Amino acid sequence: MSAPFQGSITTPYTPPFKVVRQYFIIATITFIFLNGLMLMSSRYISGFHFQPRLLSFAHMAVLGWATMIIRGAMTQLIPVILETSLYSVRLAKWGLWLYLAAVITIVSHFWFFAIKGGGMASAAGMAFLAVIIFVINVGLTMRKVKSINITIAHIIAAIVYLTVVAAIGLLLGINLSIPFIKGDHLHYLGLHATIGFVGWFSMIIMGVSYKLLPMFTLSYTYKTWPGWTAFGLINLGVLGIVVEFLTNRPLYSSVLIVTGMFMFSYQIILIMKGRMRKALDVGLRHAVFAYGYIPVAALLGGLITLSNINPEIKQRVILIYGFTVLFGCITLLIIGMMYKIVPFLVWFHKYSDKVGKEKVPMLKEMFSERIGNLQFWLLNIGVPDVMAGLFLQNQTVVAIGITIIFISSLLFGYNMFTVFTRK
Amino acid sequence: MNILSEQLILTALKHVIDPEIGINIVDLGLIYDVKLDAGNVYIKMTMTTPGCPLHESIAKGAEEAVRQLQGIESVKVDLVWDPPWTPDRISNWAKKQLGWR
Repeated sequence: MSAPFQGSITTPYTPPFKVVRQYFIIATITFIFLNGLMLMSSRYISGFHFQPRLLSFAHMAVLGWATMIIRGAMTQLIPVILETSLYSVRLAKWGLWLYLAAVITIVSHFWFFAIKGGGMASAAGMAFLAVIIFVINVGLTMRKVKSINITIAHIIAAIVYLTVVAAIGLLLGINLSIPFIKGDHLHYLGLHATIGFVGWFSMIIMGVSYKLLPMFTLSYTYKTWPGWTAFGLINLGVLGIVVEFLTNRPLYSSVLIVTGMFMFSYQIILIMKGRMRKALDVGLRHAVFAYGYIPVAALLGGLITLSNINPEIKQRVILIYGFTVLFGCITLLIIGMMYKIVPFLVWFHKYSDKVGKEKVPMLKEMFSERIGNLQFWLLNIGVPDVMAGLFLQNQTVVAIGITIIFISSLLFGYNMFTVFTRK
Repeated sequence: MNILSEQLILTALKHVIDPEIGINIVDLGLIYDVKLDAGNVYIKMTMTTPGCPLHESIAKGAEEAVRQLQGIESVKVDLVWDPPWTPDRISNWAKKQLGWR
């Protein structure tokens, strides 16, 4: 048997299935738990934002759900985005448990507002350490990157912001246990939330979108200047917010951020216009709606920071803004991307070596698209419903919306369970 | 004879379907070249995106699909990124499947 052509296929940077799976399963359970808890305590989702249950919900959403997924997804996507292997799978593996312990401690301390003793400070310390482990892992992986593209630039910015957010969180955690910050705690909380939302989440969402959206929609012929402009404007805006914080002088930096968010939306429109794959599946429909919520959140953010609205109305808008960012923008996008990434992960693990030998399922056949569609519409009814309820200060409307979102989260959990337990 | 056999190889490659897009790799335009030399097959192919996480399974799948044909001695799959894949390579049939009218 002659064999003139041998050794052909390049070595892949195979993602560590078990590690990524743990992040995704924990985050999905947290998401359902969060919605269940919000349903049982929906009366707390109103009024002033600095209150124990709201802070607990917010941290469960940003740390236990969104950042947990992003950490897992980054472990999976680093080979795709950077075209190199993750620096250390072990750091990703062990970092998870430290991070999970930190999230549980932070969320429970906020829930009971247990600020006496060093519990809150230790929780914030654990979270900071777990973030640093993640940042080191991504940072050392980045060393292998030869050139910077739009996605990589966003990821670099995102992990810098994540470090800053965790550091401010650490200071705030210590301050709650042992007050040492001169001035208003809420002033620092505002910076913590702004850098978290506008810095960490928007940079990571935008960066990953620039890679995944064209890949999933087969879009290759669009200009990237709006994306780069958005990157510049948003980062300048965040820098301006920091200067405003330090100098107490209004610089109207939010204008840059709001404009940047609209430039991002324009970039997404260009990508979608140039796509070859016209029909959108359930994952991409989630993503498109999430992108639609971004300018809405940007306008709400602008309203909070730039206008002189009545303080009582402003308080409502702050809640609506936070809810829109967490459930409209971040949750919708995460769920959409999970419908793309999780089936792929399981498919790769189970069927990768069967391609070409036997019939293997398509990724969309790994879960129920009907349930996915129902879940999608429920979520998109529930989110505006809660937004309206928060504005009208109508607890019944809020409770109905949260019930709908909870049902949606159960359906999503069912679909993920179907994928993960596929025989 | 060779033309027909290369055609047969392409037919075999049509059984390898991108599980994300749901279109076979030939109609997606991922196959750049197929050469047959006395039972030894050389396939030059690409992926839609560099770093595509499916590249290993699809390239191996292509190799396996061809290996199952009778009379095949060896199969080499060369995964290349140059020239990069462009959507122009998608067949008209596949475009319809993707929602183009």
